[in-house]
Amino acid sequence: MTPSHGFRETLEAARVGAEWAWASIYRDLAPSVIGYLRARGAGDPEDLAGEVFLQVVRDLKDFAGGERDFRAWVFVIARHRLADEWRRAERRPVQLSRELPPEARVSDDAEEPALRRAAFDRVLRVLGELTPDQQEVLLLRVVGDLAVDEVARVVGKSSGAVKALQRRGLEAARLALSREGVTPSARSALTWTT
Amino acid sequence: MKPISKLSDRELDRLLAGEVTPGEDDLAELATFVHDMRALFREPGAEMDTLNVAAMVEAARLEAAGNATRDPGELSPEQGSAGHHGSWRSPMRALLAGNRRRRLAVLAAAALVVAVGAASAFGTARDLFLGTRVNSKIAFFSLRDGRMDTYVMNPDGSEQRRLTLSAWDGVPIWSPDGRRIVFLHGRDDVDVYVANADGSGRRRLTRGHMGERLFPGSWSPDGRRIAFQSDPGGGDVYIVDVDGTGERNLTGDGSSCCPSWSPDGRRIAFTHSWPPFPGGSLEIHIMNADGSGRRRLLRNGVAPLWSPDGERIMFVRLGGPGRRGWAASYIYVMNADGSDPRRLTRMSEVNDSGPAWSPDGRKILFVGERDRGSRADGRRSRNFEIYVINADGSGKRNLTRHPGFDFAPEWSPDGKKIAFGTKRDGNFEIYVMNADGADQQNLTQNPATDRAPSWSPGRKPGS
Repeated sequence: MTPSHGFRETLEAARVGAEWAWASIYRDLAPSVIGYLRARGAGDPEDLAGEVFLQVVRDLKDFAGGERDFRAWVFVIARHRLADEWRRAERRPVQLSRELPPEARVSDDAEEPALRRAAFDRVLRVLGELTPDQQEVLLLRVVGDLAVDEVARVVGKSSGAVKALQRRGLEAARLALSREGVTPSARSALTWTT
Repeated sequence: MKPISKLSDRELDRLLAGEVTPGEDDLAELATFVHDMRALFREPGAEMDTLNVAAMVEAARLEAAGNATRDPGELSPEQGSAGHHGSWRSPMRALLAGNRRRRLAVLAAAALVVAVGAASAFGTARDLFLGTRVNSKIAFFSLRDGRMDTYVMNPDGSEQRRLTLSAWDGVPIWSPDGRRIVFLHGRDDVDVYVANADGSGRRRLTRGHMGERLFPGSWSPDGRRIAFQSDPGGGDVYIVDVDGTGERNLTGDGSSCCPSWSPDGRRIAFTHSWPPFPGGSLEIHIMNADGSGRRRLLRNGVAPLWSPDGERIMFVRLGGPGRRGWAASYIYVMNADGSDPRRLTRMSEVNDSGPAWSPDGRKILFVGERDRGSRADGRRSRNFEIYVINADGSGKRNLTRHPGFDFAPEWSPDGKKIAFGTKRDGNFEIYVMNADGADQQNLTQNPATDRAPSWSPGRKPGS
């Protein structure tokens, strides 16, 4: 949602089914939500995100609050739907996603996907050194673009606990990175603009 | 090296927001890791998942319909077509049932109501007002410059250029002579705009409505007036002159949508909901182009579209959940007086959507979700195909036959080619094929999203 929209107006329009409003909401939130679901190992992140957003639609009448509250609220739903999926599949989220985003696999450039793959593997290895709680907090902060108190609301912990988790998580990540040694930065391969 | 525990909250926020520049700080490795994590897990960013958004829009409308305290009776398609009114409630349940195939089925049905899609062919009507026609063009959306803009290109894919500068204009609908476009524009409030085919001379035609909607049949055949729906949650059918004057509410019931102008310009068919939308049953009505002489043509039907010769009207009937629990929609054709409605598509084609008359009125293009498969990259398929069927219901053919996702078909003005959107190459591209499905070619060839082709009427290339 751009400031020009006005969050309240956007939500009002969304409630009556205005396409621009849902497009705006989706555009604003979907990359984060899909990214979070993907990182947490959802089988089909886009599909699950579709479910999340449909539940957003259905439960919108119960939502009250501002734009940042809305963001946190959507992630609460995303987290519930993910838990539902795990229950359906009768499995625990034992590992992070091994699936690269599909866009990383359609390039004609042979080298670029390899670099992305390497960067992705490194991210997974490093995240793998974190506890599940630390992983989730960092993913919500970084991929979900949530502030500390919003993460706290999503995971049902205090802000202090979230801060502690993110510090410990980053410390663990830094340690893991130092063990990885010097790796060529994959940043150059990560230009996502098309 | 500063321990993480010594970083201030603000420094941590900056690090996690990716604001620490790698290489300029002893947190370089960590900053790179954070950046990679964000970039790799998130989608490329601006690409819209058309289906998810459309599903949200429909779900919101269906939810609103549910709140209108309608009896949520579930009807079989057979009951529905026997004159009973289909209920919105069953699609809503199906939509929320959490299964993509089912959602898509419901969505495809609902999409017809709102006519999300490209302009259809009104060949005969256009031919009455040929004048000096311009060369035919294909308009489309593209994200290639980082945001969703409308572009045009020649039918061979050459001369692709940006037409509008706007983040979310609706699909442009070409005037009968191909010289102008009408489209929706606006952020806080969407309004109807008209512009020359090259995007110049933009003029706002409407203001003050809740959120106008345009339809394939929005242009009057003489190109002088635009019919539109005033409010996405219901509203009325209005007309306005292309100079922005003479706006009139033709229905005045707050519960009508989806106008389609008859090829002779004298009548307008539209969808009416009673009790008022959302929540009512959906009927097809017809009126004179001045709003007089209104009457119901048919119970249980939506999205009327006149045949190019004005003799028939295609419409869609929404059914309840079918044998496999999916909501169904069926393409019908009836005589323009409402008699002899005939179903063209069967139970199995639950996802018929976006039907379009061929310029000669003999065939109809539609999108169906038939064959399943997996894409080349191994992801699960959500596989729409493009079908053609004779207007009498015979000769149905799958034209695309591709494990990729093909949709939004659009006839060329001469009926010899079909433009369509596809995700077969991993991202959205616009393809063109012969009317028999042969010679499928990528027109856009751009790594960014390109979709929603809209083929303008016009002189055939070289003629």
